[in-house]
Amino acid sequence: MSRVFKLKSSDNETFEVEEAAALLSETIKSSSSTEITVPNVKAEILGKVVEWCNKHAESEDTKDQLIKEWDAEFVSVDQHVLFKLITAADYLQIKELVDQLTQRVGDMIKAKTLKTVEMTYPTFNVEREVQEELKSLGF
Amino acid sequence: MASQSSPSSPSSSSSSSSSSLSSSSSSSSPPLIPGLPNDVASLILSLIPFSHHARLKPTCKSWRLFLSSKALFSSRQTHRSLSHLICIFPEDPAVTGPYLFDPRHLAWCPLPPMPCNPYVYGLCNFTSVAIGPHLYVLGGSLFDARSFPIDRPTPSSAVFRFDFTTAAWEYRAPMLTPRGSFACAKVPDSDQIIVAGGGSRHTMFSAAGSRMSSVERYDVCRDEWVAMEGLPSFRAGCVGFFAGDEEEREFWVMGGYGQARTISEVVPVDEYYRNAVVMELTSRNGGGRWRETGDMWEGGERMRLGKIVVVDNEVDPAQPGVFMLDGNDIFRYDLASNRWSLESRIPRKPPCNSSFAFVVLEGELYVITFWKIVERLHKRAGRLYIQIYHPQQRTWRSLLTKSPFRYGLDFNAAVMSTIHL
Repeated sequence: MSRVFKLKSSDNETFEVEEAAALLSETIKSSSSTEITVPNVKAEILGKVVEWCNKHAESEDTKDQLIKEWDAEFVSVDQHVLFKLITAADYLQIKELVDQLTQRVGDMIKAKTLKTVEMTYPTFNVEREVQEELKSLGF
Repeated sequence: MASQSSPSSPSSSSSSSSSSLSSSSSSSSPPLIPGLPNDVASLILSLIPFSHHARLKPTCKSWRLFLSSKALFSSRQTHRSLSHLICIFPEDPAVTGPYLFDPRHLAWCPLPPMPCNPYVYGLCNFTSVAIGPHLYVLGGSLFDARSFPIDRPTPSSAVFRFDFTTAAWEYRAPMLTPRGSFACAKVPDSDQIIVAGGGSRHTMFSAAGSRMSSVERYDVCRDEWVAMEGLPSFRAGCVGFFAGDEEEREFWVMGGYGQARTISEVVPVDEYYRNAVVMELTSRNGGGRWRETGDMWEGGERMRLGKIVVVDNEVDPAQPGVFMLDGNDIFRYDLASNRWSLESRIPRKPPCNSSFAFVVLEGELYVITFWKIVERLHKRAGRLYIQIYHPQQRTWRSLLTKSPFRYGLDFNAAVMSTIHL
């Protein structure tokens, strides 16, 4: 008889997860209650994480090509969705999901040249850093 | 790739998420990747292969600091994401620095030349070994302008180290006895280097040169050399490697030349050793005694050993894969029977009779040669043709890459090593 865990997102939506899927998360494993609130994670993202957990729980013994293909499709999402997924998986401490997502971000970084790296992360503001450095050198 | 701006800031302050990696406070330092907690961002950056680092360092200051830090190397080691690179020293390292080559991405990275001592020149026959994020250059044979007579090469005892975190060369403690063409190996599971034998022969003269039998051990942390029991006889031009696990470890020194004889009292000829000597390292401090193996081959089969590389055997450390490149053939050595057997033939020998470089990387044997040498001033010297042999699968594959060297180089004299960064 498996327990059912309830995961609550930041916008108050509840997801019911079977024990096998839920125990993929270290946070849930070490938590005492079956009701866990996941702060800062919206329902849409939490739903995807639950979907990943369910998929990986049911096919624990068969780590074959189908799962790999499903995983590859799962991580090929937009960058900001990806980042939100990483934050959620990091909070829930699901190691394999974090590994897959970080590998995806690494691949995205590798595929860029310097110019597009600057465009995607505009908050870096390289120009300002260069100005600051020149000032510190006394120009 | 959508060039959207990064997600809103409130969600990024979830660095309260507990994680096994140590998290830096994201309030004081700028975030490595906006939108992600710093520990996840550092994990992402540490998974990127070494050949991309140079392009990524100028992105911003925090990336440059992170990609040049010592913590990065240990993080990559833990996550098994180290890049395996071949290091080629084309000539005297004070003139031309070594080149790093990443076969997976066909990327080259030139390193700065070694510090130049104005009195010495023509360093060759040194050895290079990598420990962690450091590349060591030991000994060698060189000409010293202060010596008399000037045209006699002398062995060097200098030890240099290239630190990839600071991208600079450093001086380390010199060896007790200066030597070139010696056997050198890194002690497994320990930050130590053992050197054995050696001589003063220079590549410019294919004969002459002294030989020695002393053996020393270097401790990286304490930066000091300790003498060990010497070889049973003088030996230069030999190769050294380790076999065995923690309980029974052996240091092998194979081949080389010892005595010399002259033909008709005029032409000097080397007497090549046909055997190896083995030292058992039983206790932590010391070496044990040396024992000699029998001759590895009958007279006439070959004159001397070719280039030797060793593949570490993770499954059975007592049986490392010892391979020799002799002409166009690769032989494998059996430690138990002390015999060489033919393993494979090199599939393609390039049209021009250039020499081969032989090095092992990620358990595969790399045979590197020039494909075509174009003798034009100031032009690159053609392409490098690399044939790769997998000892378990017994298959060959090949790569072709542009050569970054300004002039053709002699792979018989170039020093090769591998490093994991």
